[in-house]
Formats: sequence, structure tokens, C-alpha cells
Amino acid sequence: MKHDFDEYIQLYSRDLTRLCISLCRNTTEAEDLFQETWCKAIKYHSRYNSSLPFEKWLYSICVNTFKNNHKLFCNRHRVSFSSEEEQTLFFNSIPDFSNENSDEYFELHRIISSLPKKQKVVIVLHYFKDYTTREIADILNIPEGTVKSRLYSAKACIRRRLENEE
Amino acid sequence: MKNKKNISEERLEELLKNYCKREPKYSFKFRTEEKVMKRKPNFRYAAATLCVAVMLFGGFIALQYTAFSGTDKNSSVVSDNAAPGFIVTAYAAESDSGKADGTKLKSVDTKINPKFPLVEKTYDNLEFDSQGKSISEDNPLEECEETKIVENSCLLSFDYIGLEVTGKDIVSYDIRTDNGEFNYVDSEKMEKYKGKGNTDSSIIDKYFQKGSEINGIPVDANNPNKSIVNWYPAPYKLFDEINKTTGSDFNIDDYYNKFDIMSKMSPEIDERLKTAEDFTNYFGSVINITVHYKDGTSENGIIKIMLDEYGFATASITKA
Repeated sequence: MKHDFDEYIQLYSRDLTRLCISLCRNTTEAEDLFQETWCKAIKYHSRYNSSLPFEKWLYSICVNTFKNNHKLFCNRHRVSFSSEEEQTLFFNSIPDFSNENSDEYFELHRIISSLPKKQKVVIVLHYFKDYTTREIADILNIPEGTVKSRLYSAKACIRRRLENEE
Repeated sequence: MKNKKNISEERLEELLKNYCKREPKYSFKFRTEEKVMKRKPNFRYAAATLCVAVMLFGGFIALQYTAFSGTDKNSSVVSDNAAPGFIVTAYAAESDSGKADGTKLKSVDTKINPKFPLVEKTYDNLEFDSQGKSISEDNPLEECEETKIVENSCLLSFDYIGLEVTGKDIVSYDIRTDNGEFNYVDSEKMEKYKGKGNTDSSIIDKYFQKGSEINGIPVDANNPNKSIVNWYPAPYKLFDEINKTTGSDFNIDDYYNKFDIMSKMSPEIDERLKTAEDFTNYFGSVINITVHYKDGTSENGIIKIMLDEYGFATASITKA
């Protein structure tokens, strides 16, 4: 079964890695999510409708796995890295991350990590690939209006907390 | 006092774009081995398991003790008239509906209502002190106070708090709130029967024991699924006030579903939600609960929902 999927895995692993890192609090969690997403995609591949883009189907599995995974949800207020190396690896994947703006990104990471999952997923999908609210609505299978309101709420929350932090 | 910074719209967009558009120099590798999917249970699960084991053992000892003292004519009867006691557990929950999740996968992936113990106060008589005051210790199962935080709403959201009422010989309970709304939990059974010509009330009629009610909804205390009520924060107070100030006439759906309206009103919302007091004033609640037992006695409890300056909530549960 995996053999049939090799091409997909090769093609989409990089983008899936990016999505998982953006969704999770650290690389360990992100890798778990990555593994679980592919396992489910392989398991349920018969349900994939090939008339739809594969990547969106894959991302919907990824975000739903993220939302439903209790292990990833528990203790989510703990933004933790097992080592400094892991932390560096995690933040260095942010394009303009530098010593000058590191505090700002640490703070943003802390805030995004504590967002309700439904808001976090919408924010990440929106900025990860510049998906429109319509596209996000399709991936999440929810009304577009709901996507808009979640996006709005999430951004308002992030802004307020960034502004209020010392 | 915290320094207030100003983050421009452009800077916020830039930060979020950079944060989410990751460009790692590596890519995870997919491994098929089953073992990579398995993680060691964390402390939380270990502690929970241990505590359940201790409770079961304790229960067993208590049963033995009761059985023994029942045969001892000299033993005193302990709290014959006392109410059996109840436990309220508040759960943080996100209310993504089943419809919103993974419909391309199967039901196992559309499970809803993740429940995470928030605060647990035991109403067992043994845990009241000599003045009848409840010993307000948080549930020792919890690792730290951070777990008491409910991801309620960053601004206005649909998150809710699940309140589970359990205890021996509970016949029913009444529950009232001064702000917010209740709904019963969407258990899997409820979901299963929905959409097949059944309405919520017809499902309740079929599967929920009649006679006891929560806000008109029957409760069967023997089934834990039926003793959970969800409390939803209500934004009416906030929106009504904004409508009044701005001379608008928007309803709740306008605020939630019409992005333009929400955007237009955002300065008004921000203006009103700055401090913990503001959040608590608009979204907080005092929930009164009265539990009725088989022997005709009843007990009261108060659940206070308070919010902090970021819109997170905590629950405190005390005996009335």
C-alpha cells in the first residue's frame, strides 16, 4: 500500500512538514502529526476522490488529526522544546527570523500555541499557502462565514495579546 | 502595569505570514513502523490511572468497612441523614461540530467534545470541614494550575464549558445561570440518531429517562453522557451595548457570520474588552446547581465562571 503512495509522499512531504511545524508547538509533535497524517491518508486512500486536489485532501486529514488528537491538545499551554537545538531548528524555519526579532516570534509562537485549535487551524491555513477563505472552508468543510469569523477572532486575539505583552 | 505596544496591521500580517510560511531546511520522513506512532503515556495519563486505581481501591476498602460496621452493633451510624454528595467536573471544550470535521474520513475521525478536566471539587461529605465548608482543593489529578484555563473565547467564540455532575443516588439536578446558555452534550448516541427523521427532543424522549430535567431536558444520572450540560458564554450583553451606543440593530448572526459587520464593530468590541473585569462582566457567570437525591434530600453548589484579560476562563466550584 505504501508503495502506491510513494509518489505522493515524495511530492507532498515537504509541504506537509511545513504545515505540521506551523500547527504544532515543537518539532517532536510536528513529526508525530506528520506520521499520523500519512498513516491515515494511506489507510483511507480509497476515499480519496481524484477529481479533487490531493494536497487539500491531505491537509484536511492533517488539520483534523491535529484537532482531534488529545495528545497534541493536552498541556498545550506548555510551549516546550526538548533542547535548545530543537528550538533553534524550529524557529530557523521562519524566513526572516533573526536575533533582532526573536523575542517577537517567541511571543507570537506562545500566543498562537494557546489559541483554540479551530482558530489556529484557520490562521495557519490562511497564511501557509495563501488559501482564500473559500478554499479553507472547503478543506475544513465548514461555511465560509465561519472561516471569516474565526480568522477575524484569531487575529484580533493575537493582536491584543501581542500589544498587551510587556 | 503592562506596556501597551502598537502593532500595525501590516506588521501583524508580516509576522503571521512568516510564522506560517515555514521554509525548513529539512523534511520529515514517513516511517511505516507502528512503533513510531506510539508514544509513552505522559504524566497526566499515568497520574489519572494511578488515581483511578487508588479510588477503586479506596472504594473497595470503604465497602468492606461499611459491610463490617453493618454487622457491628456497637458501631455508630455515620451521617444517616447526610446527602450522599456529588461531584461537579468542569471541562474545557471546543465546540467544533461533528459536521465541521474530517467528513472525508470515517466517524472515528469526527469525534467531538474533547473533554479535559478543568477543576474538580468533591462534594463528598468527607471533604467538608467541621463548619460544613468545602475543602476547596483542586483536583490533584491536574498537573498544574494552567490546566484550569478554558480556551473559552479569544474574543467571541463558540467554546463552551462542559459540566459533568456525578454522584451516588442522584435523581436529577436543576441548574441555572445568570449569564450564558445551557445545552445538553451531543453524545455519540445523539449524533447517531440525528438526521433520520428524529429531532433532538424525540431522541431525548426515546433514550433519556423521563421524570428528571435540566432546563426541560430529561436527565438520567446513571448514564454519564446524560448528566453533562454544556454552558455557553453569551455575547448578547456585549452586542446589545454596542448596538445601543452605535445606534445599530445587528443581531447575533450578523456579528458572527457577517465579516464586514464584525470588522466594523471591532473597535467597539476592543474598547469594551480590555481587562479581566470587562471580560468577566460580559461573559462571566454564576451557575447555581441543586442536586436531588433518591432519599429526597438535596444539595446546592455554585460554579463561578470568570475570565482573565485575555478571554481565558477559570471555574471555581463551591458549596452553596
